[in-house]
Amino acid sequence: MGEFLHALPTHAFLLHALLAGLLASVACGIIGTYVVVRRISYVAGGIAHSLLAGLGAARYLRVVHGWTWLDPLLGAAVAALLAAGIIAIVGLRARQREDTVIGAVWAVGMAVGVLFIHLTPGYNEDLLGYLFGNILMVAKRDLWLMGGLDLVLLVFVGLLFHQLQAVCFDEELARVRGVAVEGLYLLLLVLTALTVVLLVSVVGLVMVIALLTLPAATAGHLTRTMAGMMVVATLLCAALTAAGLALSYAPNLPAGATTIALAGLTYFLVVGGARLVQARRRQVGLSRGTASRP
Amino acid sequence: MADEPRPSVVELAGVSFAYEDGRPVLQDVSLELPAGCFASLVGPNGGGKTTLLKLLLGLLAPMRGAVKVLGVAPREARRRVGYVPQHTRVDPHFPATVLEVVLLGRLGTGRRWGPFGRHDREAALAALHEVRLDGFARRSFAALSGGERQRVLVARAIVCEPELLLLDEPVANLDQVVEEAFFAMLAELGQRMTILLVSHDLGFVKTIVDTVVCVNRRVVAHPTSAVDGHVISELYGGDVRLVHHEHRVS
Repeated sequence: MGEFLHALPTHAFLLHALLAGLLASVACGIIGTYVVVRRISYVAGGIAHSLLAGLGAARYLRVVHGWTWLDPLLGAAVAALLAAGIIAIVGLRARQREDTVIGAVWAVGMAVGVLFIHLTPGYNEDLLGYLFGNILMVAKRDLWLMGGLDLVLLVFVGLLFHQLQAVCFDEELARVRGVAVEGLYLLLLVLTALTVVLLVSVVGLVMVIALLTLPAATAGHLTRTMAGMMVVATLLCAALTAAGLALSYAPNLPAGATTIALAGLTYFLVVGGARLVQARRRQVGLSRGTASRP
Repeated sequence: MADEPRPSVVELAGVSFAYEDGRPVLQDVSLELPAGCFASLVGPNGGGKTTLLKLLLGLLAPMRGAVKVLGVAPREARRRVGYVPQHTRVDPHFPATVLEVVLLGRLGTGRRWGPFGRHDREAALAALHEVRLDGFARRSFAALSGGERQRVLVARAIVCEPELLLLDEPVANLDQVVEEAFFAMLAELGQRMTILLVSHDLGFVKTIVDTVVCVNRRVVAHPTSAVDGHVISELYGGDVRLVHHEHRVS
C-alpha cells in the first residue's frame, strides 16, 4: 500500500488507473443498482460475454484486412448493443424464452469471439487484457469515454428515476400510469451494455458481472432505498477499485482480480453481519416479549 | 321526481378474449356498472376475473366487442383509474420507503421528467392518512406487515384521485382481523369513488358490496341480495359451500 501511495504522484499510468476506477464506479453504482433490483444480472452476464465476438471480429479485421481505424472497444460496443437489443426484444415479446435466448447470446458470442481469435494470426496479448482486465493500461481516451458515460447516466437517472423505479417495482403499474415500459427497458439494457464495455478495461469481461452486481448487492444490505443503493454502491465500488489497485501494486498481482476478490469478501462480510444483526434483534424481541408477559 | 340514472363507469359490449393458447377466457361479455357502485368480481380460478380487470385497465385489448371506462377507451381513462394489483405481483423486499411507493401512483399526473414536486408529496401524505398510515412515510416498505403493505398499495392507487378503483384479490394474504379493517377502509373510500374488486371470499364480500359480478367465461351481474346457493353452484359448476362470516364492517 505504501509503495503504491509513494508511486502514485510520479507515475501517470497509476493516476489514470485510479481515475478509471473512480469513473467506472459511478456507472457501476447506477447501473449495478438497476441490475440487482430488477434481477437482470444474467442479462448483464450475457451482454458481457457476447463482447468477445465484437473484440475478436474487430481485431481480425484490423490484422487481416488492415482496418486499422477499427478499435476493438468499438467492436465490443457494437456486439454489446446487438446482444442488448436481442435480449430486450425477446424479453419483452416472449418472456418465457428469455433465459434460453440469454444463454444462446452468451455462448454464441463467446464462440464467435474464439473463432475470430483463432483465425487472426499473431499473439493476442491485448485480448487477454480485455478478458481479465488491465486497468494499468487504460488510455486517456477511455477516461473521457467513462466520464461521458457517467454524465449520460446521471442525466438519465435525474430525469427518469421514478419511471425506472416504477418499472423495477411493478411493471404493470408502470404501464397503467402511462410509462413507456418497453422503451425504458431497452434504454436500460443499452446503458448496461455501454457500462459493461467500459468496465471491461477495468476488470475484464470475465469478471465485469461481479463488479456490476457485488457493490450494489452489498449496498442493498446497508440502505433501504434505490437512490441510497446507488450512492453507497458508487462509494463502495470506488473504495474497492482503489484498494484493489493499491494492494495489487507492490506484489504485482492482477488489479482486476484483486478488486473482485475484495468485492466478494466485502459482500460476504456484510451479508454475514446483517444476519448476525437480525438474529440479535430477534433474540432481543423474544426476550422482551417474554419479560412483558404476565 | 324519479332519480336521474347514474352514468356508467364500466361498459362492456359483446367482449370476447382468448390468450395465445386459443383458450377462450371471456366470451360475449356485456356488463354495465353505474357510477358510485361497490362491486365485486367473483368466480372460479381461470374464469376470467383478472383478464376482465386487465381489459378495463387497457393492458389487454378485446378480440371482439368494445370496452369503455368512464365513457372513453380504457387507455384514455387510465389516469382517472386507481389500481391495486395482486400481492404476488409486488416485490415485498423492494428497496423503497413507503412515501416513495405511494408517489409512484402520481406518475402520469404531473410533469413527465425529474423529481416529484411538493404538491405530489402532499397528495401522497394525504393518501397515507386516508388509509390510516400516518407516520409511515419514511418507513421501509420491506419492513411492513402484509396488511400494512396492502394499505400502502391502496394509498398508491388513490393518490391520483381516481374516479374508479380496481383491486385484484386485495385480501388474499390477510388474516380475518386485518381483512375486516381493510374492508372498512374500502367502504369509506366507496363513499366517493366507484370500487370494483376481485375476491374469492364471496361469503364476506356479500356483506359489504352492492353488486356481485359472477365471472366464468361469461358474466352475470346481480344485486348482492340475489346471490344465493343456486347462482353460486351455476357459477362454479358444482356445489360450493358458502360460509357465512360474522364480520363487522363499520
